[in-house]
Amino acid sequence: MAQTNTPAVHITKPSTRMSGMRAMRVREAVTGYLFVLPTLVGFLVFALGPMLFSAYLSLHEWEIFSPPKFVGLDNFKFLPEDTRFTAGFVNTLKFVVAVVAMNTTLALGAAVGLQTKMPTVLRNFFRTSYFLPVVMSMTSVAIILSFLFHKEFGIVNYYLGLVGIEKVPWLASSSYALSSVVLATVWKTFGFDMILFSAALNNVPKHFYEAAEIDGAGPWQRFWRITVPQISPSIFFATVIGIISHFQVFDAAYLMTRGGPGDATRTLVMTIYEDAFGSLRLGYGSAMAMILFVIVMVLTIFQFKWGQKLVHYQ
Amino acid sequence: MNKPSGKYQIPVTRRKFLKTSIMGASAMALAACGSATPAPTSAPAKPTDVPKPAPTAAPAGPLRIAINGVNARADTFKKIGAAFEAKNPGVKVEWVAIQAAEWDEYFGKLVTLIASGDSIDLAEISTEGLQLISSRNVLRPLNPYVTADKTEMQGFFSDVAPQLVEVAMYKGDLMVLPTLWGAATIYYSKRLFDKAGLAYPKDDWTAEDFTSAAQKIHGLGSDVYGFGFPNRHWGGLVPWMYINEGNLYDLGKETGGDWLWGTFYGGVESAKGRAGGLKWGNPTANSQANLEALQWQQDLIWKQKVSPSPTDLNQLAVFMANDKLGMMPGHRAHTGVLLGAGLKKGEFDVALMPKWKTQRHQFGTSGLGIMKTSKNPDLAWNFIKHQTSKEQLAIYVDKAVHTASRRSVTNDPAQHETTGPANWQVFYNTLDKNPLTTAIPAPLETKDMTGIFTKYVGLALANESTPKDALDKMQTELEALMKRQRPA
Repeated sequence: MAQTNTPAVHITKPSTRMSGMRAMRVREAVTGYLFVLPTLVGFLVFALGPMLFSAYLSLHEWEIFSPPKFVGLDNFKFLPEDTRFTAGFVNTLKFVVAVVAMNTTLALGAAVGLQTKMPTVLRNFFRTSYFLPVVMSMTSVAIILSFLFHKEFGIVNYYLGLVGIEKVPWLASSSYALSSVVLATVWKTFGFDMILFSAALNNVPKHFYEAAEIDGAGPWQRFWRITVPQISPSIFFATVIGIISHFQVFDAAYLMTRGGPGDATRTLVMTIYEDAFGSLRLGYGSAMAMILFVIVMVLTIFQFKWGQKLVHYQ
Repeated sequence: MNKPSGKYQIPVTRRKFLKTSIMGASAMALAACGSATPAPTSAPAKPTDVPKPAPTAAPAGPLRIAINGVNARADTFKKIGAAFEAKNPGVKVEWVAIQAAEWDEYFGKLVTLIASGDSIDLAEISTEGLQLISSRNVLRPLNPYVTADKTEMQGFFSDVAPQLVEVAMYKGDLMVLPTLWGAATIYYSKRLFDKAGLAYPKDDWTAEDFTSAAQKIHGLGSDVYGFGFPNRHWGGLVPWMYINEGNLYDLGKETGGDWLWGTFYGGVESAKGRAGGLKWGNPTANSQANLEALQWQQDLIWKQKVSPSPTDLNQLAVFMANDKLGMMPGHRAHTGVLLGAGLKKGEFDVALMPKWKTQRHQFGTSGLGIMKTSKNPDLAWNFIKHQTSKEQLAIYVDKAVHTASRRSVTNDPAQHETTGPANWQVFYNTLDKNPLTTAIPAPLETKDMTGIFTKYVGLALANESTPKDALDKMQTELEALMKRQRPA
């Protein structure tokens, strides 16, 4: 039998093969973690670290110039008696409910409106106009709106006067001040939700609407039965983010009214800021911050547990 | 999540990595907690005990100065710093301009800077925060420096009203040299006064003259108002309380201070009776005088309708520039604000507060204090002398940026030549012609006091509370605050 030339097969031992694969997996893992490291370090240094420090401070009295003094839960015990804290909490709650509800409604309406047939130029103009306030600084917005909303000299009351409506004390009355801050915030922020909903609407299959039309569904039915369920993940996301961010409202109320008249527009974060950095009660301020953190966390968990049932995932 | 099978197990699992990171973060946070304990400070030293540090051969780093950034322009700071550097070769001046709309914001940021370990040699300290900062023992009293440079300082003190110096003292120690200050006076629009056929206010005009002028200006149109004012600590209700002989607290004097008054103000009539600083006693928020003042201010808005709802001074300046407002409170810095809002020199002027029971004005002042942690205290003192010199102060307040503590600078006609107002003598006359003029209420707990004060005054001015109810509640809260904040 003639000999055939077959190339020599280099047989590696199983252990050598395994260590080579292991080294590759280690490299892959390390590369992955290196990519997420900047974000993780940022989170640890700028979020988790300060949170832990704040939790530590909440059990102490600290006014910076002397060492922190351990007081246990005393800071928390005083909170229910502090009318500024309770006023801040109630106002913040009202603010969040109003802003999130109005933002969602207006953003949805604007997003649906942008889907209607119109020249591209007009569509882009509206989309830009609604989104522009989002990128403006709240400081500039607050200063300008405090001029516009001035009871005697503001242009809003001027135009209301032209249609026979009496001057409204937008920022000068407890009855209107919080609403004015809500309106300012909604004007500035609903554009962000609108962009989210617009993107979601673009992904709703057109044949759903065609089939519904054939079945005799009217515009409202198509909206409630098709549009809303299809974009419900975006609505859910916008609501969760909106609640978390608006619970931390500070700049609009601080710049427009400084919490007044009385405590009508006092918010939780404003109270935390004033106590911690104005009155140098960092321990007490930290205790309030911990309460705010727990409230937002509980609300978010609640939303995920209950809100998920209303969300339609494809 | 399913544990990966042994064959494909990643050596560093996600769980392990996160666990390690969180432990590391906790360790960092605990380390930060441990370092959040500044060295305990000793009790404040008495004037005679504070040693003057030995002169240093060379500065340890740049001279870092924290100031309220809104009070002057960046180019002004550069000029003053450059002039000092030219006189002191090898020295660098570094400005830390803290932007803040109100003084309590400034102090919050300043304190945060100090807590973060940022080395500051000098910090601007105003009336609003002097007692708080001084009580925390972070400033070096200036007594030994002033005493050692007695001859040079004689020129300064002879040029500064004693009221400003007294307010800069804390329990007998001089904490800052007053540099800037401002008493609330009345700015008025000459255009609207002319339109209403009103004579310009004289120094001895009364509260009735004032109200009558406000009414006549409002008569020019339903959207034209006689007098606008803010709801804030300085320039809101307090000037009217003061001219009605009211105050938020009983006002007394701390002991001490003879070392300064005897040396620099001997024989000065207005310095008689001055002591070691102001001592704010028990609250008197709901006194009859304060009640009358708040009722009067509420009536301006709701009964006489000659005032718009309270708004900040910058907005008021814009309304005045647009012929919608006849009068507003302000000090010299508001000349600059009115010019910036569009009024021209000659279209407005300034008058003293009208006379009610008195013409006692209210003012605030500020100056640089030397931090105890400064490694360059001698250099810092030299800078204070440099900045408060006539020449440098004139540069600092040029173009109506602020009011200089030195009489010779504020009363220099050249300072007002390009900006006005014509009646600029009013500024220093609030002190020189009114020895009772004193500082805004500024006890240890000023920040909380301001919150309580503006809250209840705001409710009364919004017509949501009677002045009596507002002041009674204010009194109750101020008393509780005093018990909490002031050491027994």
